[in-house]
Amino acid sequence: MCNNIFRIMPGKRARKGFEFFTTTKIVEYTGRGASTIEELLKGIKEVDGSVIFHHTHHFIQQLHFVRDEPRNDFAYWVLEALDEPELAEILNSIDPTEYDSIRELRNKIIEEIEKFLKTHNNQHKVSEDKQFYFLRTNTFVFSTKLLAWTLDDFVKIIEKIGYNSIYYHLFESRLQKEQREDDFVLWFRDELELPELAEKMKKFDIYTSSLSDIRTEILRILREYHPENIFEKLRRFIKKVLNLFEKK
Amino acid sequence: MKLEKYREIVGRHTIDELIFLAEKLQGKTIQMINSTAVGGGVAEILHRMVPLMNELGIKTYWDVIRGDEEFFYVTKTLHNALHGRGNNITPEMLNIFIRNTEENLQMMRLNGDIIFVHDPQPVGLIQAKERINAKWVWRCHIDISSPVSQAWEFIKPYVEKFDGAVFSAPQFTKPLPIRQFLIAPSIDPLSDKNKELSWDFVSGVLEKYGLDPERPIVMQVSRYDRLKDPLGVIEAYKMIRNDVDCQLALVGSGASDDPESAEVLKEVQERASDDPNIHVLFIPQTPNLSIETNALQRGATIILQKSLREGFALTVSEALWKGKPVIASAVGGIPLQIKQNITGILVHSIEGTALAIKRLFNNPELSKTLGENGKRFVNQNFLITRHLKDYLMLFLILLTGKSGVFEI
Repeated sequence: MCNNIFRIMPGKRARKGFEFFTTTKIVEYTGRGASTIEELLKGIKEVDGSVIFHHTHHFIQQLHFVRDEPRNDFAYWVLEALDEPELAEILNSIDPTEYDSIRELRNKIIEEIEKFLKTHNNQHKVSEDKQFYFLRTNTFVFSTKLLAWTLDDFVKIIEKIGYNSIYYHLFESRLQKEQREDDFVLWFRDELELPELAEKMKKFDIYTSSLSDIRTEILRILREYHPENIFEKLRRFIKKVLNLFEKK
Repeated sequence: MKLEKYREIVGRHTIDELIFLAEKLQGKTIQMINSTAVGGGVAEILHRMVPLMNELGIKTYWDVIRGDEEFFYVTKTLHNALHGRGNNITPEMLNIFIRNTEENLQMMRLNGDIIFVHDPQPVGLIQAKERINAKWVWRCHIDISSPVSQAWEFIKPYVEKFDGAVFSAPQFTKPLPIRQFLIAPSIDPLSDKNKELSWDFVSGVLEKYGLDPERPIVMQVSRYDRLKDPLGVIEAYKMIRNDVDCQLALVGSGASDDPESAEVLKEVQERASDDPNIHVLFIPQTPNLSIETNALQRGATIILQKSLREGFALTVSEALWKGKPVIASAVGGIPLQIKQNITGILVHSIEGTALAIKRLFNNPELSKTLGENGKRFVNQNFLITRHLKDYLMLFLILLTGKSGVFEI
């Protein structure tokens, strides 16, 4: 901690500013459905990446204020329509933030379903009204025109930015650009040159948190790490020591 | 500026997104076409949507097709058949539809970068596609998942000529060779049906309809239709009335000359006649209908939607918007609005409904949380601003012909 005081100067300017983008989307039906586990598997193998993205991510934005268990659509349907709680649990535990690309995420889902089918025989065929509908997300990405050059700027923007923007930089952009880490972590480490802060951010589990909690947690991490706070703590500490001396 | 009033409700980010998307559509013209200027959900939403689009700088016109009495009788029959009810469509009826469509094609000025046709009545206008350089979209507001096949086979060739179709939920779609977008309907938080009301006004309306504002009220708001299962609601109430002190209110409106509705109302009144705590209300079709329904919903403690079959069921969003805990059947579009134990409680039976009512009465904290979550969920997903945003994105997609990620 002491090391930080000297290394991070207040208002330290990044080599490159962080431009905040936001995202909004419209859903499209692909015309494809599934009534059995085999049809679901075949569909997952054949649909385009924006379909896999939709079914593993849309609930994050839709219920941004509730900390609930993750609910990807494949897991939900396997449980509700096919009554396979074991496979549902396995699919639900796949954390998309651990994969660098939709391709890898898709392969993991396929692998788990195929593994399950080797030992289980689910012949369940659901009625038409309970079928799985493969949907695609059409995503619009645009700049909020907000730019952060320092940690101060970043905190101020995070405090007020919309949830769609936080969602974009943590979940969506990473997969679109096929990068291992999210935009915030990359900027802290590569542009602001704060590797410890980047590590702290990386350790925070965003997948099981609501977007509302994510904002709160990011701000907590940043404020804890923020040099002005450290100076403030130091000032209070010195004042306390001086008070002690005065009393003596 | 009307848009500014929404900013206070949905926040500046949503409005900023609308403004940004609208900027990309400057200079484009949209023509909305439906079959009536007054009455019905489509006209209601267009009355609000069209001025907002113009305020955003997108030139938007709204035109209504014309037709004789016969035509509207045919379109009503066709509408019901697409909804899966009745099958008495005769060749004469189809000829009337074709003849009126031809007349509209000759009379109407079709003009726009996007021609947005609502519901089946004006669907035949697509025949002008070859002579008008525009993107055509068909917005289906009804559930056509189980239509009378003759009706669907009749309109399908028209629908297939459009550049895109819009449905309210995945289960309402059909196999089609064109792109199909999903856009949920919405409620308007500034309308009489949903705006904030003072408790004085609310309690006044409750008293007007014989309800005691001081005692808890379990309520279902829907027309008197067997598919809304009003008798099931009464059964559920009877199961819990010895455990919980509350009133039950069944609130319905609609055309009093509808013979089926009158018959159901009579049955419901008979079933309720042995209990003074059951209030069977019929709200007349007056200008006060919306605001009084709003007040009744706001005066309720718990709201039910125990339907056996549903379309999208926007009454659920209306109840959630008022911060009420909602217990509703898992049918039609309801599961899109109720996330189990988060924004409400989904049920499958009369017994399940009764248990859920008791559960909420015994757990006011849960009721409060469901109500708060429900309101936030509707704010983000089922208000007119989200609906408008979806339309703007749809227009951009149709005009570019692309899909996937749009960096704009």
